[in-house]
Amino acid sequence: MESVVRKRNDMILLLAVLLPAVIIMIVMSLNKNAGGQVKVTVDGELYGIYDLDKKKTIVIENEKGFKNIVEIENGYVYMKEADCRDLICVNQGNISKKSETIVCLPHKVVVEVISGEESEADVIAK
Amino acid sequence: MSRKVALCGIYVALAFIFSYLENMLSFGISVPGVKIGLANIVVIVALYTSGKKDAVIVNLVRVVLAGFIFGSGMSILYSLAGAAASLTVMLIMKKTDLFSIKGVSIAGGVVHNMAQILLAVCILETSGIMYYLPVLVIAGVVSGIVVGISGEIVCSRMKKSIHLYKSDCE
Repeated sequence: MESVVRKRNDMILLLAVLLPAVIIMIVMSLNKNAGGQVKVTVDGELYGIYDLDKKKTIVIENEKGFKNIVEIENGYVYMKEADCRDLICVNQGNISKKSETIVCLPHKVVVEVISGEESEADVIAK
Repeated sequence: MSRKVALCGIYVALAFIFSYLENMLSFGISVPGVKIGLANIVVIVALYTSGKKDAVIVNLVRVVLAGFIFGSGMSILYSLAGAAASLTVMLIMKKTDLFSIKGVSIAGGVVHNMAQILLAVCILETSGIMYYLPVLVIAGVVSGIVVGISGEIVCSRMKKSIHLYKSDCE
């Protein structure tokens, strides 16, 4: 096949992949609502739901010796400390908007900001 | 035959060194899974100069080697998922003969990241991390372009300087 045709196809592929991703990103950043609560899950199980406006330090330790410290402060939540190897979760910094997440892959810890409209009953029902 | 084995050995060694380099250079990037994927340069060069069988072998050996030495059980699983998915797509893309090395490697980079995030969704049992999908797709494109351009250069230089049994390089 002609290399000109290949180049054209490359461009089509590039745009077909890049455009939707960029559009979704823009839409997501425009639609950012402030979250109300923080949901922490460990290994797929709900660990706890915390209010975003109350200062709190959550220490997550599991039987394998993993340790993560999640800090809620001034309406933000961040991973203060983790003893994982890559520290990506710590580098992720502050989050506060709905559906933003901090993930610690090695420890399977997920911190997600939720809207906070969920009532206590819903949480218990889960 | 022995030539081909030697070439494969070089590819594995190079890919392994690239994995090591990438492991050392942690850029403190704030999104999980964003990497340049230097080792993929070797995989794509192997694919174009040595054929699909060798590319699969080089990739598999590299993932297992690097995984056991630098990673944990979990990270091997993630790299294996990414590598398998991206190589499969790259093989198909190359077979269609519709794209250049760059196009093939862009598709590989994107699929690599998508496979890893899907695996993460399954393992962590939360769809919350799908939030990262657009960022990771863009990262995959960037990484694919870098890998594709490098691969193209390496490929054309190799064609000029050493005799290859098989060469799909332009």
